[in-house]
Amino acid sequence: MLRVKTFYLFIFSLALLAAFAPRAGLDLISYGLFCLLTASTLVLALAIRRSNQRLAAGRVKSSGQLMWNRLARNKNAMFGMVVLIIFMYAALLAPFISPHDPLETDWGALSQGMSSAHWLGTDDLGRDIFSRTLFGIRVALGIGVTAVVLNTLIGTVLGLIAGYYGGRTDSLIMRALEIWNSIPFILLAIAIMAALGTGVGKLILIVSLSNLMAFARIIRGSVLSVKEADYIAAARVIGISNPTIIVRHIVPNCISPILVMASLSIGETILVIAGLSFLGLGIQPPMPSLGGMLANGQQFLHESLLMSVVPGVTILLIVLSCNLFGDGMRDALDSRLND
Amino acid sequence: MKNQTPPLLEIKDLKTWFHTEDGIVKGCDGVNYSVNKGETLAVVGESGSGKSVTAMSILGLIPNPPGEITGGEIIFRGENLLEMNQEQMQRIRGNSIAMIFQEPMTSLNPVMTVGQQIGESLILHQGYSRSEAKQKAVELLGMVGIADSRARVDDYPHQLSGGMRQRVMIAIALACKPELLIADEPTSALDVTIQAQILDLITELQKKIGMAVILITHDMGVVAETADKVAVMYCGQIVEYGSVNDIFFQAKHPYLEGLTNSVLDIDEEVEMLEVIEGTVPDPLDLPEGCNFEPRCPKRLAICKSQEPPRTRFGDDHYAHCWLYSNANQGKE
Amino acid sequence: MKNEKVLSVRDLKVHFPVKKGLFKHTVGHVKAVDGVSFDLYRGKTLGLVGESGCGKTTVAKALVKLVQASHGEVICDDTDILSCSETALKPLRKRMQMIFQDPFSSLDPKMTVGEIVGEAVKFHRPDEDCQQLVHRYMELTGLRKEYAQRYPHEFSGGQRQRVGIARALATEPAIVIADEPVSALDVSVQAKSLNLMKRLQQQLHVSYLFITHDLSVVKHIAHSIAVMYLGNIVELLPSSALRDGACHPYTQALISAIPSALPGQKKRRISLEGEIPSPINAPDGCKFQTRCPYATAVCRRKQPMLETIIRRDLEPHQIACHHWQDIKRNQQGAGESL
Repeated sequence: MLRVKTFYLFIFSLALLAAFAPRAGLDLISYGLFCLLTASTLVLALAIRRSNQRLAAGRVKSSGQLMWNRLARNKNAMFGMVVLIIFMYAALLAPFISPHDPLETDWGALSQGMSSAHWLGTDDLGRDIFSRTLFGIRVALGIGVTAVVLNTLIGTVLGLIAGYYGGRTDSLIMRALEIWNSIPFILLAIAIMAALGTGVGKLILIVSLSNLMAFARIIRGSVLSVKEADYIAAARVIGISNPTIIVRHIVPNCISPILVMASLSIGETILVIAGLSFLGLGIQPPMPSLGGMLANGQQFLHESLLMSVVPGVTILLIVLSCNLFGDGMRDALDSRLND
Repeated sequence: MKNQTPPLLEIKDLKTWFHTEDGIVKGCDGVNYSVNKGETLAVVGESGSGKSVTAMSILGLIPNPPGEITGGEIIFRGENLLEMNQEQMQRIRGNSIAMIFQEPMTSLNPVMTVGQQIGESLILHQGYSRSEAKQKAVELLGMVGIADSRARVDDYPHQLSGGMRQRVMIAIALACKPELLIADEPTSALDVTIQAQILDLITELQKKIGMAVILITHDMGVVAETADKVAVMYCGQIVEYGSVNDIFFQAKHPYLEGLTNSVLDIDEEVEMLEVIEGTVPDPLDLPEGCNFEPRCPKRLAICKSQEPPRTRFGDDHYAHCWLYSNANQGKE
Repeated sequence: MKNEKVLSVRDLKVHFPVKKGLFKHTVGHVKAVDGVSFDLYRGKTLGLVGESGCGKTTVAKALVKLVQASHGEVICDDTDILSCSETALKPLRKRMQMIFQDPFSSLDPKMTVGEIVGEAVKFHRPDEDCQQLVHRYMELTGLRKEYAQRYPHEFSGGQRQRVGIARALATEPAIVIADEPVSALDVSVQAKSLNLMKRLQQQLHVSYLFITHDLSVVKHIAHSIAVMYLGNIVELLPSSALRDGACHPYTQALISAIPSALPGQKKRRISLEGEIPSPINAPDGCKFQTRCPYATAVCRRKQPMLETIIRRDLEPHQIACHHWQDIKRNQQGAGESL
């Protein structure tokens, strides 16, 4: 069943790929990424087919399959996953599917409600809200995912080193992180922006450096318990060096908390970015951002509700689906650990 | 000599099943045994045999879900425990039936003193006041052989050694003078010198209070020294049941023979030990017919397709094996 | 084949500092291992027996440098392992491997069985065909080579222990340290594992340092047995002498504590009264004095050293007790009068 659905997704993606091919020139990067996405759905379909075959041959389910089964039964998590996939497609295909240019102003249609020309109305400068929302999702997901990936990497590496080597190294890293964590985030953001200027790069930098403590602490805890297992001792008795042990043995066994934290923090990060944009510190206009749209809409609440409601609900949906999916992951992985 | 008085506890055809996502695991499947007042019944088996599941079912400690008692009766003092509600069961647990577990490290609450934990059941079941309970706790600690009990009663579990913690567990269990003590592998986690002391203690207290003991173990040596009756379990079923002499000197079931032969005896000199071929079957995929058939050195054709019936060998000694069944005559 | 010594341990000590206070200064030492010496011969098994806290597992860990030894020499291949650097240690690591107690935590759950055994092969024998070697060692321990693709959770405890044995043997070690390898297994599986280890010893001439708390187990697999108490070896004897020839009071108490094999044979139990001293504040003199029925003034003053009472080449009998001759004489006297 899953294989079939994934395969249909692949066909659908292929169709879209073909449909937008002529307009690829508009944004080659996005097109390229979409090709990648399409290819990965094919790979996924094939992998599922292979694991189904393995299962049919009477082999015990691998822990990955058990986890997926548990996850699939969780309706909330599945809802979250589907919504995220839709948003992901929307984000990648935004340049090709948005009916209007998000920056294009239409002085003849200011603060309009929903109409056939503007599906979700226009804002105070006549820009199409639907198109701006699409690009806002793109920005939010793009920056959000990048920032989370960086945050995960830095936090994980620090947690791994602190947990594995222990002693002085551990104390040093943990104390440094605690000091770093005690700086209020907004102040940090303002300070960095003031020093280095605004821009997408700086935004990613700030967000990826914030809240490292949570990641590092959780990973460190995980490492501490994995470290005591006999198979680590066995690797040392064989003579394997510490860095190799970390990469080969510790990391694969600590993946679950990493995955859970990462998926939960995407939602959080998007909220943070939206918040920064709301305050004028994040993404600068005229680049569309959900937070910016919210800030803008604030002033026009009595004239046009759509200007605030649409970006607000979109943020809500993205964060909600990330959290639902992340919660589902945590439950699925936890029960596996307790097996 | 047949015992005329009804047994203190009798389990009839008990079935406890677990509903997992891969299928049903039959923790115990049609178990029958009984124990009389003052007697020690040893329940022997390896992992997956269902010996602990059966004992936990007696006290209603099986988590539901995924576990479920799907059939049978547990008759204690004439009443069926399975028909009691939570309140009635709570009055029995710790009061008339007590249990001690394998791991003394995790069975005691680390944030309560030893005296408080012993006193809990006294306050709950027997209406003692706090000071009376503490006094009785000191007494009990002395009874289980802990020196300097007046000082020890205020210690926390982590301040005591493994052997002492197990003694505390026994004190907690015996506080209300139960009629039945269920001991689930009480000495497996302890050193051999302490093991001997704990077993002697249980036997001594048993004589003193006149209680019955169900001793769950995998160690045949422990069985030989302490048991009056023995039930041997394999894959959730009893394969042989009898007095301790029957089990050791007149073993009938091939699994029991294999088990006794695998036991290491310090007085024997053997080059290679005798083993039971194969491994314990997957509980989700038990064989048709006799569960032991794939590994049995004496298997017959019929063993593969049908479960063996019970064959009696005299008073209270029976086994489930086709080798001895009359219906088997001539069916090689 | 000449009976060569493959391992020689001299006066091994492992003291763990006890740190207290804000600045973590050392207030004392836990003397987990306090002067242990023994030899291991090719193709033979030395059993290291004792109860919890006696230091036997610490000895094992010190030999493979999983813990830092405070003193002593461990000589293998004419090199002292303890004073070696980690790089110089690499060829020696090949010679000494370890089997662990818990079959569930001794295998990496994310790696296949083939990868687990292969890790050792790839590290120490990179020039040889890894897959072939992995299959060979798996089949040697009774595992079908098709199982190499499977993950540890698909196996039973006994089978996982076989994987651990295959991994230990894959580097062709001279010495395998087995830390309670059968304690976590069912009785019937224990017998199989012990048979397997014996067979492998006969085939590969590997030496075992077999650590356990179970005297019945050790008797079946060891040629010599060393009994430890609170960090010292109190008696070293050939396993054939275990039943009747043990001279040290602690060994005798251990033997008497084993439950009898058949009903109706209640043994005379030597019960040990008294408290186990704390390993931080061990008393002067013999560590067993607080529980020994034969303790006298000299026991409280001077710690007995291991002396050899029978020198029989590979099966010496050594004992650390001031009064062993008297004890033996008493017992023989008691035996005669029965």
